[in-house]
Amino acid sequence: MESILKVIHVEKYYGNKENVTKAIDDIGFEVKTGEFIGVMGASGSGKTTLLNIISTIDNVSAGHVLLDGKDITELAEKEIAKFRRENLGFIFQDCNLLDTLTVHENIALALTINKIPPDEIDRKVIGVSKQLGIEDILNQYPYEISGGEKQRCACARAMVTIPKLILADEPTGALDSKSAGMLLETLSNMNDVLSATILMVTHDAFSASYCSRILFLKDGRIFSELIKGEKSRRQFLNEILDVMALLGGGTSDVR
Amino acid sequence: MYVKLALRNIKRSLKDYAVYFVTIVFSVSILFAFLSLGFSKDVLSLAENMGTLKGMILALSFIITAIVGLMTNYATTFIIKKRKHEFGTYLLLGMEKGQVVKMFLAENLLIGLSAFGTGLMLGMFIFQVFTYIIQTIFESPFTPNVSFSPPATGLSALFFFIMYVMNTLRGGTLVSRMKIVDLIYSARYNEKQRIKTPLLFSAIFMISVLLCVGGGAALAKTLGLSDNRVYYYMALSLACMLGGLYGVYACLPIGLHLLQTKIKKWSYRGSNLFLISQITSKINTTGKTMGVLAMLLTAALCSLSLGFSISAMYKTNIQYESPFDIAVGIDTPYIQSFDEVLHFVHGITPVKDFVDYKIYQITDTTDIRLQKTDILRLSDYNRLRVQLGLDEKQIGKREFIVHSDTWHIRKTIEEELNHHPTIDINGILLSSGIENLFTEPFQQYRINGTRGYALVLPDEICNALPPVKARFVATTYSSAPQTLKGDLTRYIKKEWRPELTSVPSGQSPIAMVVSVKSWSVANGLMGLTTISFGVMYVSLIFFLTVGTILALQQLTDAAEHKYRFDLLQKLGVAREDIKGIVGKQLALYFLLPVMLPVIITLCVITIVNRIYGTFILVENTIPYYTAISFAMFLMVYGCYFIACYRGFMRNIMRKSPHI
Repeated sequence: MESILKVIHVEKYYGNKENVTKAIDDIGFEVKTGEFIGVMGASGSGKTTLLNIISTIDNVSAGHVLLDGKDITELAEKEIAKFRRENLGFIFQDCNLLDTLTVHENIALALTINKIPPDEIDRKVIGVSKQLGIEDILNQYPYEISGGEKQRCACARAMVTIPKLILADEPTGALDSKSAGMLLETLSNMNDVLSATILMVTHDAFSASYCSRILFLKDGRIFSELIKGEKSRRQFLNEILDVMALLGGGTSDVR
Repeated sequence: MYVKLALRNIKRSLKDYAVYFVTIVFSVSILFAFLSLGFSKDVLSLAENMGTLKGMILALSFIITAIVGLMTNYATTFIIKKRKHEFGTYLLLGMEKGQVVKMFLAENLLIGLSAFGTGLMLGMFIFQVFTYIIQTIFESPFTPNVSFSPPATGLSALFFFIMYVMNTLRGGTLVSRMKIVDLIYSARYNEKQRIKTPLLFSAIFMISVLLCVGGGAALAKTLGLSDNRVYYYMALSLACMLGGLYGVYACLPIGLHLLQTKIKKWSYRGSNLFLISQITSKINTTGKTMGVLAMLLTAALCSLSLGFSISAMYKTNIQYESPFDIAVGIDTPYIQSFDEVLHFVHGITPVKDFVDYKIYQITDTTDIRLQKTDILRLSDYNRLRVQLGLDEKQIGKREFIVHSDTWHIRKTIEEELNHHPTIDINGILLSSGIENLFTEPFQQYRINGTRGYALVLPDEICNALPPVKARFVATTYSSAPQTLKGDLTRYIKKEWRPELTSVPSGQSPIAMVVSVKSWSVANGLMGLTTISFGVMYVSLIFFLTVGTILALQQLTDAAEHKYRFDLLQKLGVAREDIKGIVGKQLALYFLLPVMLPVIITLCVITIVNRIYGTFILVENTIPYYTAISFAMFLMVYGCYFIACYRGFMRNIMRKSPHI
């Protein structure tokens, strides 16, 4: 399978001359089309910074990020918005749904920004919401539905444009375990059935066990890598826990 | 979809920032009403020098635009801060920055334009009320005239552009410059706490207090001065007071924080811990904002109280100012007669009756009560009384009359009449009594008694006294035209007695007074109108600004406050108690910035009243109008407080956070 994302020697520094913090210290990896890749690490290990760089929210200090062969670190300000809406989908911990719009409209907004012909929009919105099981709440406002439902709406919004890469930042962070489980099934489903490529940042071993491959970050570097392969999810989870113990992140994060 | 989104956003903005947009509507309507007044032909034709009103309204409009502009600036920044996360989401979904900025501008301009339109309509109504009031003051019949005067509308649009549109555009630039990473993670940033060392803080606090008190003391001193430096010093001491005021408020949250950490007993009492933390949680901005608000309030309260008092002074002084239709005074005895003046006046407006007379003084006397005191002949006095429609007075050969229309020296005169009722005029003893003291308006100070009172002596005694001033008083059949004052003055100075104005150097010029009742009344009414409307204009806007900023501060932190109050409820505070705490918190926010301004205003008023109160011909004018001003302020402020309280309760009692 061809690789959709290439991260090449990326570095990111914060601070000034006297006091430099290396948030990301020479990271490189590839993601293949249809992969569900997880990035794990303790707080401050650089996971979110990495995600922000890949999602063009933040820029690199050094290195390159190639998405589908295109170097996103060299995109001009104007191209970034276009690139983002055509290639990326986002799922954040706090959903980022607009409270002035209904669920239906929130999902449709992503399509209108992409200038999809109006007569196709409703069909697409209803299609994706059926797949994610949110067709009953389409006409409700974000503040009228539960956290888990909101997060599935965010998934629908991220997916509806059929982006090349879906980026998820702690999507289960604000959810109870049942909703979290449902959301992970949804993501996994999106990956299997719709062959969406997903990059998920998490510090939770249970969430990570749904991925097909996991990168472990420590102090801004890749510390280790795990591949699920043909293993069962339980086996994979145990392996993750072992690496986490090695990382020194402790097992306190394990549910 | 963008249109739908923008419309929904507008709907939400109108709900969340209702107080702000209502204030914009009111500001526009007040601005427009006053500008219309300034350009209204009906109003400007009421008095010869009504142009002053126009000039003042234009000048004040600039100040008001600046202040409302500041408020809009504050509100725009505030609203953008609250919407950062939303803007970030748009960008994340792939909207271009230009699109986001365009949407922000479209939303705000649409709101602004409708506020402007509504403001104009409301302003037209207020303008009618103003016209009615002013025409009633001038006793001129009121004719409603609903027409949008082009200059007033144009200027309103210009000022609105400066105060609102420019700030919106600036907001657009602000949004366009923001980085997406800051927008998305904005909520996680806290306001950095910058607590000075207690020593430095105490020093700044003490200096501020000293500036306040020192400014007040300096004001008391300088108002006593009688030359032009008084304005310079007055401005300086007022600046000191305002600067000190700002300093005190800027230090307040830090002071509270220190108190909270040092005096545990106090901070643990009742809901103090929670309330103080609410204020100190935004330690930098709260104090500074309160400082600015306090400065605005002080300026508004002082100008409203003093302005009302001054206009009341005009009102009460009108009838004392010119009781005679026409009066001319020339402070030299060498005017034989005013025949030519009479002829000139008669050519303009028919004269019914006139008095051509002299004022006498005693040159050599040791009695300080008589030195430089103006003396009238009894016959002249009675003829003057006839001009005013009063009865004639008769006295015995060895008696005299005192006439004083000035209340603050009357008490002294009464005392003298009770205890030392005898005077010695060139060896002749005359006596009087309290029954021979008359107080009708008699145009004293200027015409009949420069010191605020005059003695009236029997004619034969006056015959022996030297005349020192020439006077002429005329009564006309109908009210003289206002222009007569200028025409008559010109006639006397240029044609009749040009030598009066060409005094050889080294000699003081001869004092000359020309007064025309119709002009004085119009002038007094004009002064009354200009000042009272002017101070109302400025203070109303200042009150609105302060109320809006306070309410905005409280209402827009809805989510934050809701979280805190939810927590309080979970910690076991009953719903009723929550109401109490909200009331206390809002009262604290609304009262704190008012406390010092009220104290300072009362001090300034007391000082001014002590020094200038005597110039007003009716007692207690200043305290009375100060009370009225405070009542007006309380009314406006109270409305904002109630609106804020209701909005706040609705916010925190809402089931789930809105944003």
